Amino acid sequence: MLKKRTIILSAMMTWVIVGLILSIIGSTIWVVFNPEIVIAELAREMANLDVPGDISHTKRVLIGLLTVPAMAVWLIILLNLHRLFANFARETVFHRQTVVAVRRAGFWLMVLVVVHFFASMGSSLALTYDFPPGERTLAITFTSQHFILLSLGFVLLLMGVVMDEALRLDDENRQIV
Amino acid sequence: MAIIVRLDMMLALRKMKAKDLAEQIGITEQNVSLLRQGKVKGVRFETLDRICAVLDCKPGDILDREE
Repeated sequence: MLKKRTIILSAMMTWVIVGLILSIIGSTIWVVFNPEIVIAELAREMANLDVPGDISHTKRVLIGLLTVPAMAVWLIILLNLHRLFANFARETVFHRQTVVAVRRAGFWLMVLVVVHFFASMGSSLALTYDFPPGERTLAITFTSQHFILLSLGFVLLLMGVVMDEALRLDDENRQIV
Repeated sequence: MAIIVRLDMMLALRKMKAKDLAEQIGITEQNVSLLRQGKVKGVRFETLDRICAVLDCKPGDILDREE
């Protein structure tokens, strides 16, 4: 039995996640049409990149679209976390669905790092492909933020495997009278 | 190979209901029902001992093996 406080907190978290999902959908749409924030982030990552003031429409659209896969992965992670907290709120902790949600959230967090890696590489290419030779840039970034996400994903994945094993043991134990 | 649970027969011989057995050995009626149908993966020695004590029999009277 979970404490009432945990149940209330889990129910609140499901709503927080719904808010985050909506904000991610909104911001994805916004970024696709206004990729300046991504370009600024890219310029920050590549300190020596001189971003021109006027960026062509094609480039802007391309850079904007490159953010979509990462946002889609974030959505998948949040949907799994939503399912996880919804199960906690219903007091179904050791349940197949909960375990699957933990494992999937971990797996997709790790996928997110890979998607981020390729998206930033693609964005730098999209931004500088028509620059004069010598000024074209290919950004290969692996920051501490990526490392933290990767570690967190791995830990969640591991937790899911352990919970899965515990669930199997519990199931087996139930079949012994 | 299959382990056969002959609890039904022993209950009939002792003229005892499954519900009463469940109460006396301290497990749920549902578990007794599963045991009678052989739908369990195992029986604890502790449970088997209590069943034998209540039904006044030996484990071999309840469990059998069929090829």
